[in-house]
Amino acid sequence: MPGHRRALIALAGAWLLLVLGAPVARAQVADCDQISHLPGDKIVMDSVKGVSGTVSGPMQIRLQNALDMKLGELNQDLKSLVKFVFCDARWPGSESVFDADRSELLNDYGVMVEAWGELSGDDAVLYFAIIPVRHYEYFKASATSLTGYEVAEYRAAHGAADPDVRLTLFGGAGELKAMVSLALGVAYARRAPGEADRMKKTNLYDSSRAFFCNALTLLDQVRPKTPGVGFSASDWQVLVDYAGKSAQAIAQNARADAGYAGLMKQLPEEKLRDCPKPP
Amino acid sequence: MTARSRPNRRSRGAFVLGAIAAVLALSAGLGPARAGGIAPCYDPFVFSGSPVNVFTVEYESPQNDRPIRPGETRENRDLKKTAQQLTWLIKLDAFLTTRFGGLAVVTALDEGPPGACRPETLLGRLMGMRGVRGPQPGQALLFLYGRIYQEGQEIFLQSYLQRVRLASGELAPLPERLSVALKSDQGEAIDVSAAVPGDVVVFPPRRLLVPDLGHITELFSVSGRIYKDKDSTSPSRPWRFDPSQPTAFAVEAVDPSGWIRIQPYLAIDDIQPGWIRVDPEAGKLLHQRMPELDFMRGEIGYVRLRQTYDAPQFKSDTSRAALTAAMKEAFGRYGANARENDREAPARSAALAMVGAASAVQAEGGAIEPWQEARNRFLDASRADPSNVGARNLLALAEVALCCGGPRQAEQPAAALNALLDVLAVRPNDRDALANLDDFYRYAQGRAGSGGLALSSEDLRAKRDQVKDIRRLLGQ
Repeated sequence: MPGHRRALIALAGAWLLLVLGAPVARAQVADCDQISHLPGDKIVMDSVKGVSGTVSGPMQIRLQNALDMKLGELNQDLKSLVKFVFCDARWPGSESVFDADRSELLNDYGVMVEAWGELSGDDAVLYFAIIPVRHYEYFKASATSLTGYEVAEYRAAHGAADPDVRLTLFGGAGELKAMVSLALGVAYARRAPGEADRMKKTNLYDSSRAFFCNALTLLDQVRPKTPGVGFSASDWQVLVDYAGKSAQAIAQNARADAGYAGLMKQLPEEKLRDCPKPP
Repeated sequence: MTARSRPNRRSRGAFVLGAIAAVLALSAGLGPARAGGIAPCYDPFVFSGSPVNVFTVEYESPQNDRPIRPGETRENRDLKKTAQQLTWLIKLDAFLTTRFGGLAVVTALDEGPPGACRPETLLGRLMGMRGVRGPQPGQALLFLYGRIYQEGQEIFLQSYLQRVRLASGELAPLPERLSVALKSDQGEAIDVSAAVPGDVVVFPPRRLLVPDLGHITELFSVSGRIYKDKDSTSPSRPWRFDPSQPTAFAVEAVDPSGWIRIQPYLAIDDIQPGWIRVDPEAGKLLHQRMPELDFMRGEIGYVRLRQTYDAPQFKSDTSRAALTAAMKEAFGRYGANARENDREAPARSAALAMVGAASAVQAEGGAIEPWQEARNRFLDASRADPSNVGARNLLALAEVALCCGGPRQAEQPAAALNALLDVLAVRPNDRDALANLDDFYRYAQGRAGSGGLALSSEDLRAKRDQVKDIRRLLGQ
């Protein structure tokens, strides 16, 4: 077969794949077009729902406002790095929704964190899927304890009815910031080795290290203190351990990568073992 | 307001704004001690003679545009009145509690096109304005804005405070920095510097009870009237709080008992010269519930102090020592009123960094004590919020100043190098830290082997070359 015919057939095949394949991929996030249409890294905010109609109007408004206030704070820190996508029609509902295929798809679309809420009486629960963690660690690396699916509870029976504790629901963008930082750390770490441009590669490694160190600090600020309010202690510990190990690993990987030309190659090794705390 | 009357009031608003511009033009450069104004966000103005203009922007109530949901009342949803009351209370409180001159407070009301009160839109509009109604070189603009949400008897509000200082010589934002002058062994000047954090401070949400606000409003209600004399039994008229009628007035006197004398730039309708009474008890309650008001007062002191160095066109009627004391007192009150919790950490850290910067900027003639004080505050700021890399850069800068910035060496250069490397270990591509490391190696090159640095001159040169290469590669 002449070369140009082979090339034409290959091109036609590629075109068919594009035409037939793309709608399939899009269909999987049809409940929120913006996820696939908006380029770049993003945080997806889904809707808030009640459990079997038990939710009161004010309670739903409370959680929606709580999310809005968290986003306002997050936006100040990350507006140049991520975009916010609001998917009012989307409510994933459970961990099983984020199976290997969907996690990969969302990861490919640059979703860092997807968040949604659930209400039952005076209880509020926020759910977060840390997509790069779920895709790379839970599914690809089979890390069983690191699911990338996090739950922050605000249960009245455990003190969430206390006005001060309730402020944790409204404020405390800390847990969301920590997870976004962790997600960006993982995403940048995965992009760095394959990046051909030295400047971009170096920035990816350096930023990844910064995100992991930042995540550690932010996680420390949301250390669980009251059971039933915020993260569970065991989930929190898993995230802390992961952020610490990742901060160290990214430094080692950068130093071993011939294309990396940043400062981590010059820093003493002991400085890169942990993220140095203020004296 | 009827649809019919709106155009007339709008055109009157335009007339008043024009008249205000004319009056401001006449008063420009006079440097009014204090001034106040009310303007819609879509058509704001700046008091050109005032070194600091604070914009108390109507808090955004995200619920206003949506239908009423089951279980809600219209009052629950529509917080506009509450938001406007709050901005008025904050404005009067600023006059009462900020004792130094040169403060102008403009209440920016959410009228007109949607989004006009968004800080980036408001700032963009102001920066695009030229002439006497627009900002002037050297001025500082502070924006207090936020979101408000009511649920039953509780009001949740979250505040943001944005600081923009303008360069003395041109109408462009001035990066807020602190620097140390070093000399190479060849006698060349080396400028090591770092940004002072706090461009935008986000405060954690606060909870006010409706009865609290009612109490505050009641206490302040008397302040909604203009009295002929400094006496609440003297004849009085209600203050018209109308977004469609912009207002500008000079604050001629502030009496510690709570009386404020105002002189309208234009005596229109019911806005006449006279006295407004502010109950100090109301202010106290407001500050307990909103510690950010003390933070704002501290920040006003901070920017006034910095202006005495870099905006000489704005003379201060208050000494640097008094400005520093007022700033520290305000930040101290913020710290006392704000609860000791992690959510407050970023704001607490920013306050400590500003206190440190205010001390360092006053180091003159190689004095090390201000830098020692600064270092301690930067250390506190870093500990308060370890994710504040800006505070850690300032800590490293203070170490550089103490080891190498003056004739008296208070610390070893090795401590400065260690602090710089600590910053880079948590953020290896940090622009300030890389530039400072480059400069530090340059400084140390001719002083190899001294001050605990176990590096030869060749080592230092090689390391500096590597840092220079990294900066070049990263486009810094």
